[in-house]
Amino acid sequence: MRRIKRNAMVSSLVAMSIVIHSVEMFIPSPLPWLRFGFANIIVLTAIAMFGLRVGLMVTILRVFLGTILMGTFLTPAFFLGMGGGIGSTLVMGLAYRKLKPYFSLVGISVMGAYTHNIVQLTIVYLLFIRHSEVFYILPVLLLFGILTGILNGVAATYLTTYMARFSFAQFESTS
Amino acid sequence: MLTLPDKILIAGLVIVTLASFPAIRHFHREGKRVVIELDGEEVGNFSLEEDRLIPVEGKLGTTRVEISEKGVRVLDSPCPYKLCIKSGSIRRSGETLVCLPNRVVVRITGDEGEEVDAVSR
Repeated sequence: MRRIKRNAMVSSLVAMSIVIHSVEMFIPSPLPWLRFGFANIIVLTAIAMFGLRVGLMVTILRVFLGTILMGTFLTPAFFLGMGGGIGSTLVMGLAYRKLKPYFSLVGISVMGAYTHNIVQLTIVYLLFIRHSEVFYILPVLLLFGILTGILNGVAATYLTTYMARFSFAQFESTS
Repeated sequence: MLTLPDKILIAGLVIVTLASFPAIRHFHREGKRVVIELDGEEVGNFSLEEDRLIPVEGKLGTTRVEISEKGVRVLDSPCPYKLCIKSGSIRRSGETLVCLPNRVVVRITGDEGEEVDAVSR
Protein backbone atom coordinates (compact mmCIF):
# COMPACT_ATOMS: atom_id res chain seq x y z
CA MET A 1 0.00 0.00 0.00
CA ARG A 2 2.83 2.33 0.88
CA ARG A 3 4.47 1.71 -2.49
CA ILE A 4 1.30 2.43 -4.38
CA LYS A 5 0.77 5.62 -2.46
CA ARG A 6 4.33 6.65 -3.14
CA ASN A 7 4.06 5.84 -6.83
CA ALA A 8 0.84 7.82 -7.10
CA MET A 9 2.51 10.81 -5.45
CA VAL A 10 5.57 10.58 -7.67
CA SER A 11 3.56 10.32 -10.87
CA SER A 12 1.41 13.26 -9.89
CA LEU A 13 4.59 15.24 -9.24
CA VAL A 14 5.86 14.32 -12.73
CA ALA A 15 2.53 15.33 -14.26
CA MET A 16 2.54 18.64 -12.42
CA SER A 17 6.08 19.45 -13.46
CA ILE A 18 5.32 18.71 -17.13
CA VAL A 19 2.26 20.95 -17.09
CA ILE A 20 4.08 23.75 -15.28
CA HIS A 21 7.04 23.48 -17.62
CA SER A 22 4.90 23.49 -20.76
CA VAL A 23 2.76 26.41 -19.65
CA GLU A 24 5.89 28.33 -18.74
CA MET A 25 7.06 28.09 -22.36
CA PHE A 26 4.29 30.54 -23.24
CA ILE A 27 5.57 33.26 -20.94
CA PRO A 28 7.45 35.66 -23.19
CA SER A 29 11.03 36.38 -22.25
CA PRO A 30 13.43 39.08 -23.43
CA LEU A 31 16.40 36.72 -23.58
CA PRO A 32 16.44 33.13 -24.86
CA TRP A 33 17.55 31.54 -21.60
CA LEU A 34 15.70 33.74 -19.16
CA ARG A 35 13.06 31.51 -17.62
CA PHE A 36 11.41 31.22 -14.26
CA GLY A 37 12.01 27.50 -13.90
CA PHE A 38 8.78 26.93 -12.01
CA ALA A 39 9.13 23.18 -12.65
CA ASN A 40 11.87 23.37 -10.08
CA ILE A 41 9.20 23.84 -7.40
CA ILE A 42 8.09 20.29 -8.08
CA VAL A 43 11.60 18.87 -8.11
CA LEU A 44 12.30 20.56 -4.78
CA THR A 45 9.10 19.14 -3.34
CA ALA A 46 10.04 15.68 -4.62
CA ILE A 47 13.47 15.94 -3.02
CA ALA A 48 12.05 17.20 0.27
CA MET A 49 9.42 14.45 0.43
CA PHE A 50 11.12 11.44 -1.13
CA GLY A 51 14.82 12.23 -1.54
CA LEU A 52 17.36 12.64 -4.30
CA ARG A 53 16.47 9.48 -6.26
CA VAL A 54 12.85 10.49 -6.75
CA GLY A 55 13.93 14.06 -7.51
CA LEU A 56 16.15 12.77 -10.32
CA MET A 57 13.36 10.53 -11.56
CA VAL A 58 10.94 13.46 -11.72
CA THR A 59 13.49 15.60 -13.58
CA ILE A 60 14.41 12.96 -16.15
CA LEU A 61 10.81 11.93 -16.79
CA ARG A 62 9.79 15.57 -17.04
CA VAL A 63 12.39 16.30 -19.68
CA PHE A 64 11.61 13.14 -21.67
CA LEU A 65 7.83 13.48 -21.62
CA GLY A 66 7.82 17.28 -21.76
CA THR A 67 10.01 17.46 -24.85
CA ILE A 68 8.07 14.68 -26.58
CA LEU A 69 4.87 16.63 -25.93
CA MET A 70 6.32 19.92 -27.15
CA GLY A 71 8.00 18.33 -30.17
CA THR A 72 11.49 19.27 -29.06
CA PHE A 73 12.69 15.74 -28.24
CA LEU A 74 16.42 15.35 -29.10
CA THR A 75 16.68 19.01 -30.14
CA PRO A 76 18.98 21.44 -28.31
CA ALA A 77 16.15 22.15 -25.86
CA PHE A 78 16.17 18.50 -24.83
CA PHE A 79 19.90 18.37 -24.07
CA LEU A 80 19.81 21.71 -22.30
CA GLY A 81 16.86 20.68 -20.18
CA MET A 82 18.39 17.31 -19.39
CA GLY A 83 21.84 18.67 -18.51
CA GLY A 84 20.65 21.62 -16.49
CA GLY A 85 17.93 19.57 -14.83
CA ILE A 86 20.16 16.69 -13.77
CA GLY A 87 22.91 19.06 -12.62
CA SER A 88 20.67 21.20 -10.48
CA THR A 89 18.74 18.22 -9.11
CA LEU A 90 21.98 16.54 -8.04
CA VAL A 91 23.17 19.69 -6.28
CA MET A 92 19.82 20.27 -4.58
CA GLY A 93 19.44 16.62 -3.57
CA LEU A 94 22.92 16.41 -2.08
CA ALA A 95 22.53 19.79 -0.38
CA TYR A 96 19.23 18.65 1.11
CA ARG A 97 20.80 15.42 2.32
CA LYS A 98 23.95 16.94 3.83
CA LEU A 99 23.10 20.55 4.67
CA LYS A 100 19.48 20.31 5.69
CA PRO A 101 20.02 21.62 9.26
CA TYR A 102 21.50 24.83 7.87
CA PHE A 103 19.61 25.69 4.73
CA SER A 104 15.90 26.00 4.13
CA LEU A 105 14.32 25.02 0.82
CA VAL A 106 14.85 28.62 -0.33
CA GLY A 107 18.62 28.36 -0.02
CA ILE A 108 18.65 24.96 -1.68
CA SER A 109 16.48 26.27 -4.50
CA VAL A 110 18.91 29.14 -5.10
CA MET A 111 21.80 26.67 -5.29
CA GLY A 112 19.85 24.66 -7.84
CA ALA A 113 19.02 27.71 -9.96
CA TYR A 114 22.64 28.83 -9.95
CA THR A 115 23.86 25.38 -10.98
CA HIS A 116 21.19 25.11 -13.63
CA ASN A 117 22.32 28.31 -15.33
CA ILE A 118 26.01 27.44 -15.25
CA VAL A 119 25.48 23.89 -16.54
CA GLN A 120 23.14 25.01 -19.31
CA LEU A 121 25.40 27.73 -20.59
CA THR A 122 28.36 25.34 -20.51
CA ILE A 123 26.35 22.87 -22.60
CA VAL A 124 25.42 25.66 -25.00
CA TYR A 125 29.09 26.51 -25.32
CA LEU A 126 30.35 22.92 -25.68
CA LEU A 127 27.69 21.58 -28.02
CA PHE A 128 26.07 24.42 -29.90
CA ILE A 129 27.77 27.80 -29.95
CA ARG A 130 31.53 27.48 -29.62
CA HIS A 131 32.02 31.12 -29.00
CA SER A 132 33.08 32.55 -25.69
CA GLU A 133 30.65 35.42 -26.26
CA VAL A 134 27.86 33.20 -24.92
CA PHE A 135 29.25 33.69 -21.42
CA TYR A 136 28.51 37.39 -21.72
CA ILE A 137 24.96 36.59 -20.80
CA LEU A 138 25.89 34.47 -17.78
CA PRO A 139 25.88 37.14 -15.02
CA VAL A 140 22.47 38.36 -16.16
CA LEU A 141 21.09 34.83 -16.07
CA LEU A 142 22.67 34.14 -12.68
CA LEU A 143 21.21 37.27 -11.09
CA PHE A 144 17.79 36.48 -12.46
CA GLY A 145 18.29 32.88 -11.36
CA ILE A 146 18.88 33.93 -7.75
CA LEU A 147 15.60 35.84 -7.82
CA THR A 148 13.57 33.01 -9.33
CA GLY A 149 15.37 30.58 -7.05
CA ILE A 150 14.04 32.46 -4.01
CA LEU A 151 10.52 32.56 -5.46
CA ASN A 152 10.56 28.85 -6.28
CA GLY A 153 11.97 28.00 -2.87
CA VAL A 154 9.16 29.84 -1.11
CA ALA A 155 6.58 28.13 -3.32
CA ALA A 156 8.15 24.73 -2.69
CA THR A 157 8.03 25.30 1.07
CA TYR A 158 4.27 25.82 0.90
CA LEU A 159 3.72 22.96 -1.54
CA THR A 160 5.74 20.56 0.62
CA THR A 161 3.76 21.24 3.76
CA TYR A 162 0.51 21.01 1.80
CA MET A 163 1.45 17.76 0.06
CA ALA A 164 2.61 16.20 3.34
CA ARG A 165 -0.69 17.01 5.02
CA PHE A 166 -2.66 15.89 1.98
CA SER A 167 -0.86 12.58 1.57
CA PHE A 168 -1.37 11.48 5.15
CA ALA A 169 -4.76 12.88 6.05
CA GLN A 170 -6.40 12.02 2.76
CA PHE A 171 -5.09 8.51 2.34
CA GLU A 172 -5.34 7.52 5.98
CA SER A 173 -8.99 8.45 6.22
CA THR A 174 -10.06 6.52 3.13
CA SER A 175 -8.14 3.31 3.83
CA MET B 1 11.44 30.74 6.38
CA LEU B 2 14.95 31.99 5.58
CA THR B 3 17.73 30.75 7.81
CA LEU B 4 20.94 32.67 8.45
CA PRO B 5 23.05 30.47 6.12
CA ASP B 6 20.37 31.05 3.46
CA LYS B 7 20.84 34.78 3.70
CA ILE B 8 24.62 34.49 3.67
CA LEU B 9 24.43 32.22 0.61
CA ILE B 10 22.11 34.54 -1.29
CA ALA B 11 24.11 37.65 -0.41
CA GLY B 12 27.36 35.88 -1.35
CA LEU B 13 26.03 34.70 -4.70
CA VAL B 14 24.67 38.15 -5.53
CA ILE B 15 28.06 39.72 -4.76
CA VAL B 16 29.97 37.11 -6.78
CA THR B 17 27.59 37.53 -9.70
CA LEU B 18 27.81 41.31 -9.67
CA ALA B 19 31.60 41.08 -9.50
CA SER B 20 31.63 38.76 -12.50
CA PHE B 21 30.13 41.41 -14.78
CA PRO B 22 33.45 43.27 -15.25
CA ALA B 23 35.45 40.05 -14.93
CA ILE B 24 33.71 38.45 -17.88
CA ARG B 25 34.34 41.53 -19.97
CA HIS B 26 37.96 41.36 -19.00
CA PHE B 27 38.42 37.74 -20.03
CA HIS B 28 36.64 38.30 -23.26
CA ARG B 29 39.28 37.99 -25.91
CA GLU B 30 40.03 40.47 -28.61
CA GLY B 31 39.17 39.93 -32.22
CA LYS B 32 41.73 39.10 -34.88
CA ARG B 33 40.47 40.32 -38.22
CA VAL B 34 38.65 43.40 -39.41
CA VAL B 35 36.10 42.73 -42.13
CA ILE B 36 34.71 45.61 -44.14
CA GLU B 37 31.50 45.14 -46.05
CA LEU B 38 29.95 47.41 -48.63
CA ASP B 39 26.31 46.79 -49.51
CA GLY B 40 26.54 43.33 -47.94
CA GLU B 41 29.60 42.28 -49.87
CA GLU B 42 33.01 41.87 -48.30
CA VAL B 43 35.40 44.42 -49.76
CA GLY B 44 38.25 44.15 -47.33
CA ASN B 45 39.74 41.87 -44.68
CA PHE B 46 42.59 43.24 -42.59
CA SER B 47 44.54 42.24 -39.53
CA LEU B 48 43.66 44.08 -36.34
CA GLU B 49 47.36 44.16 -35.46
CA GLU B 50 48.58 46.42 -38.25
CA ASP B 51 47.77 50.12 -38.15
CA ARG B 52 46.31 51.42 -41.35
CA LEU B 53 43.81 53.84 -42.85
CA ILE B 54 41.25 52.39 -45.22
CA PRO B 55 39.13 54.53 -47.52
CA VAL B 56 35.86 52.83 -48.44
CA GLU B 57 33.96 54.19 -51.43
CA GLY B 58 30.33 53.97 -50.46
CA LYS B 59 27.08 55.18 -51.93
CA LEU B 60 27.42 58.74 -50.67
CA GLY B 61 31.15 59.14 -50.65
CA THR B 62 34.25 58.00 -48.83
CA THR B 63 34.12 56.50 -45.35
CA ARG B 64 37.56 56.43 -43.81
CA VAL B 65 38.19 53.55 -41.40
CA GLU B 66 41.21 53.61 -39.13
CA ILE B 67 42.85 50.58 -37.53
CA SER B 68 45.15 51.45 -34.64
CA GLU B 69 46.25 49.82 -31.40
CA LYS B 70 43.15 51.26 -29.76
CA GLY B 71 40.90 49.35 -32.12
CA VAL B 72 38.94 50.19 -35.21
CA ARG B 73 36.95 53.35 -35.68
CA VAL B 74 35.39 55.41 -38.42
CA LEU B 75 37.41 58.58 -38.83
CA ASP B 76 35.06 60.35 -41.11
CA SER B 77 32.01 59.65 -43.15
CA PRO B 78 29.70 61.51 -45.52
CA CYS B 79 26.54 60.32 -43.79
CA PRO B 80 24.14 62.86 -42.21
CA TYR B 81 24.04 61.70 -38.59
CA LYS B 82 27.61 60.41 -38.12
CA LEU B 83 26.39 57.55 -35.96
CA CYS B 84 29.28 55.38 -37.14
CA ILE B 85 31.76 57.96 -35.88
CA LYS B 86 29.91 58.35 -32.59
CA SER B 87 30.04 54.56 -32.08
CA GLY B 88 33.68 55.00 -31.13
CA SER B 89 36.26 52.27 -31.52
CA ILE B 90 35.72 48.52 -31.38
CA ARG B 91 38.18 45.67 -30.84
CA ARG B 92 36.35 42.62 -29.50
CA SER B 93 35.19 39.91 -31.81
CA GLY B 94 31.56 40.18 -32.74
CA GLU B 95 31.44 43.96 -32.44
CA THR B 96 30.38 46.03 -35.43
CA LEU B 97 30.37 49.59 -36.72
CA VAL B 98 27.59 50.36 -39.13
CA CYS B 99 27.11 53.30 -41.45
CA LEU B 100 23.72 52.64 -42.93
CA PRO B 101 23.45 55.66 -45.29
CA ASN B 102 26.79 54.84 -46.87
CA ARG B 103 26.13 51.03 -46.75
CA VAL B 104 29.36 50.35 -44.90
CA VAL B 105 29.68 47.71 -42.17
CA VAL B 106 32.89 47.11 -40.24
CA ARG B 107 32.97 43.84 -38.30
CA ILE B 108 35.53 42.26 -36.03
CA THR B 109 35.89 38.50 -36.21
CA GLY B 110 37.90 36.09 -34.11
CA ASP B 111 39.98 33.06 -35.02
CA GLU B 112 37.04 30.77 -35.18
CA GLY B 113 36.01 32.06 -38.55
CA GLU B 114 32.54 33.36 -39.14
CA GLU B 115 30.42 33.98 -36.11
CA VAL B 116 27.71 31.50 -35.31
CA ASP B 117 24.46 32.68 -33.96
CA ALA B 118 21.62 30.52 -32.79
CA VAL B 119 18.69 30.63 -30.49
CA SER B 120 17.38 27.51 -28.88
CA ARG B 121 14.19 27.15 -27.04
